Amino acid sequence: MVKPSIQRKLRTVITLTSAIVLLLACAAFIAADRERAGRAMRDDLSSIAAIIAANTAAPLTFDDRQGAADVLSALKARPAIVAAAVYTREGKLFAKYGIADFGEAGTLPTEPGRIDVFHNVYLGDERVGSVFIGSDLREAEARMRQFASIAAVILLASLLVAWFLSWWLEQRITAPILDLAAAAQQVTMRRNYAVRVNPPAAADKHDEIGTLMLGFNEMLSEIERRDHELHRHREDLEHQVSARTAELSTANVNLVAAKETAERGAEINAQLSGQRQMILNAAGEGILGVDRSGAITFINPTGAALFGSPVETLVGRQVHGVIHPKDGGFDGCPICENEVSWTEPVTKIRLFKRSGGRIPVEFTVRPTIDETGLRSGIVATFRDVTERLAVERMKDEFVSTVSHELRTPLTSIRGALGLLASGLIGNVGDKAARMLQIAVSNTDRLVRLINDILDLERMQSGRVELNKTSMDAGAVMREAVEGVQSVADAAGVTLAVTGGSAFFTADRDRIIQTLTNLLGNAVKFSPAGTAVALSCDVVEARILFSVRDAGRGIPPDKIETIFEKFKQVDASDSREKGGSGLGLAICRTIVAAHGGRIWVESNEAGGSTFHFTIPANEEGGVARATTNRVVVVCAGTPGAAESRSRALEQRGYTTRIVALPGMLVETTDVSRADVVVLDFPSPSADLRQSLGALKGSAATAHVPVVLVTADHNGSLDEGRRLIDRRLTTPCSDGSIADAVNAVCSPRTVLIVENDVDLARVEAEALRTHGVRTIHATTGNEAIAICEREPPTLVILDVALPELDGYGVVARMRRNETLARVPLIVFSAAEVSAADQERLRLGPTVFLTKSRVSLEELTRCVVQLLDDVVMEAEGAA
Amino acid sequence: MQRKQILLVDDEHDIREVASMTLELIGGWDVVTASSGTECIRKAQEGRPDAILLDVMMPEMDGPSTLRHLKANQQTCAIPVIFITAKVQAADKRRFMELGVDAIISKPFDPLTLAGEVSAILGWS
Repeated sequence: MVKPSIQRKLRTVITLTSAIVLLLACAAFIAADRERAGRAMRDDLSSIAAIIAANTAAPLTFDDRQGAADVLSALKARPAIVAAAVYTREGKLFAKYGIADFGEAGTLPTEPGRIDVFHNVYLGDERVGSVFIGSDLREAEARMRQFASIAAVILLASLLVAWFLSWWLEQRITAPILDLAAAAQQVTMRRNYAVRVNPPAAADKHDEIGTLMLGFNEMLSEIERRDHELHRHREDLEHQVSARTAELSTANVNLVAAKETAERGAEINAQLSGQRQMILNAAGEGILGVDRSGAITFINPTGAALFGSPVETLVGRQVHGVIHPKDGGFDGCPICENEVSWTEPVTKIRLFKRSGGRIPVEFTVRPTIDETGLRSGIVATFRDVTERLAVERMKDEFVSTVSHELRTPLTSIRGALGLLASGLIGNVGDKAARMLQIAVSNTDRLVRLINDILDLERMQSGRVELNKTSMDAGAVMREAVEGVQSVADAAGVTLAVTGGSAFFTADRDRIIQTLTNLLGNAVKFSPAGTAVALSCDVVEARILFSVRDAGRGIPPDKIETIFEKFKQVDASDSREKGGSGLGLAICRTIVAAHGGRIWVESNEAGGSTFHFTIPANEEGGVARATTNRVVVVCAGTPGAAESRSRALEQRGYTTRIVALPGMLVETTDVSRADVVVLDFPSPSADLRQSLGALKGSAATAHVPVVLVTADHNGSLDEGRRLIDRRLTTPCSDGSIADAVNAVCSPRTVLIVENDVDLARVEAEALRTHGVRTIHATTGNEAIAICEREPPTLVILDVALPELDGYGVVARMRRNETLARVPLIVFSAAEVSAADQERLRLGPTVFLTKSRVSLEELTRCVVQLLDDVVMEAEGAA
Repeated sequence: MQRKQILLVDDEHDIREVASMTLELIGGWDVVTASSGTECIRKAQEGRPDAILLDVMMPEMDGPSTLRHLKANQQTCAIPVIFITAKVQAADKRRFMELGVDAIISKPFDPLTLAGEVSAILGWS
């Protein structure tokens, strides 16, 4: 099958083409030649006939037959002429030539192998006869045959040449193509890319076939290269595939394992989630979560039942709207208050609302921190403490009743014994007087014991809240010393106070109670003629009080137990020294309630030193000027809030941190604050809303707001009237303090009042009129505050420890800025006209405590403050 | 000068006796006693005492309600009132001060210093 058709076709085409062309050419040539030969023969015969006719004119005229026959015989020279004749005018045979028999008619019948020519014979214009010549065609035909054989020979030769030509062509054209075809076939059939076509001769390199072959070879090389590459790749691929397959099977195993783990995990998770839900559902306490915006994220059925609403209706609502009675009655929201300290959980008892009523609830609030360390919200657990409070109330009543019932007979006994022992109602014998003295001292001891037990009981049950105020340690120490001075004098012990003033925040009465206790102990155990030293110092942001005596000291094994109940060094002490055995326990309780520590050390020289610390209200706690102003700080991050707050406290402000802007409105701290500082580099919609609510609420509208923001274009512009001062971040703590100072309410009333409770009531009443108050319990403290921060108005009690009202006025008169301050003298007893003159400062009003109501006092203060403002405006 | 008169009110007979004795002996004042709130109001109107020492916890009418009656009456509203009480909690103290009482002396009192305290509060020399 290899004998390719192209070769045969080519050869056939070439041979046939040559044959046909030659045949056609020969045929045409022969035909033309035959035609031309015929015509030439005829012309030749005509010429001969004409010559014969010319030569026979005379014989015919002269009837010379011989002559005519002679003329005809000249035709012998032409062998082809086989017959000739001369005819007379009448057409009768005159002479003849050749072998032919003319017959009677004297004419020869026409034959196919002979050409006949006739020619008339003229003499002058007269036709005298005619000549006939017949020439045989055999000669011409023989020539024709010869010619044809030559043509056949040429044809054969041509075919031979054509055949060779095609053979040559095959070598030159077909063979390479066949090679190509064979190679292509090999490539196709066997995928043998190593095959190459024989390269063409140098001469053929540039023709199409040469190019084709070279191209084909190149192509094959390329294909071979690619094929190799492909092989390599395939091998690589196979390796990779096998590697991947191995990996995949490993991965698959892992996946199966992971899937199982995940399924187990999901199962555990589901179990845990179920358990969590179960715990939430089963918990006897209410549990709720609040996010940063103040919305409830979850609440358990117990909690929801407490509010009398189903769980679904509570989730998503603002927590403040849910937990607070509409008519107020909650004094500080525990959720907000917790934000003051974000590290410790806070427990408080507050009123919460239930549909149709309110319930006391004990709350423990803990902040939740997300992965980024930011507060994400709050989780609170709470329980209804109605019953507990009822029990506590019953206990209180019982304690109150017992104390009354015990004190009533003790009052009679103590009174009667005291009078008897004094000898005022008649002399008693020495022995009897001694017995009476024993009875008196033991009655006193019994009274102290009852007082201490009740006191300790109340303190330890946590129901006595600390009434914290800012105070000067120096003043507190002096007051405590005054309290025990008479005892010390009686014991022949001197009291020495050292240490400058340092301001701190604590429950003044409790600190004095502690100091009095310690001083009383020290005096009791000091031998006559020695000294008891009371000192105070500031150590690491704490106020350190120390009471040092030269008594008998504390044995090392008692140093720890001495602060426990009824754990005196010597059991006989309580009898001899008249102590209840509870004094130090009370001290420790008070100090612990302030977050401080109490301990005792033995002196080398004998005696002992009691120390206790109270955290200072500002860093360093040194006698730094405090402004008594309360600033509420709310920032975007707890860190920022704490740093701003610290910075403000270092400048003498008292600060409260509120975690979320949404909680500002509900926080009682805010309504009592002097300024609200908001530190939000990028204010949110939440902030804007809260700001609006803050300024829209009657309780907080008067509190100025300082905003620290990076928001230059003022997206809070709409609320520009809501912001009293705007600062742009970055912003120093100093500039914040300046801004706070600038926006603070200028109307400050100093209440100088010995009775802390009364002062609190007054402050509360004034606060509702947007008046800020500072409280001083002693005359000296009042002067110190006045010099630090001159008040707009002073409410002055006359009977004061240390420096009384007259003394305060006298000192203020000496100070130019204080001499014209409006004054309300608020005394227990009426002040006589003469005394009134000694109490006047600026515009002065005299009010007697028992005669005027709180409302009248408040009205009077507001009136005087308004007068001051009008006066200032008038002056301007 | 006329001796000051003090109205001492306590439902306990023994306390009345002891207290009046110390006030008379040490204070040198005339002491009128009453055993109930009603009696106190009547005697205050009749006798116009210079001061009233009033027990807080009494049956029927207690100290605070007695005080309210006294303050409501034109004739007795100016008389200074001192509570003598076994209730010494801060909350009670604050409540009493708001009622317009001049001072609070806690029970049991020392008979030898009672008169001195009273005179200091009232500004009597």
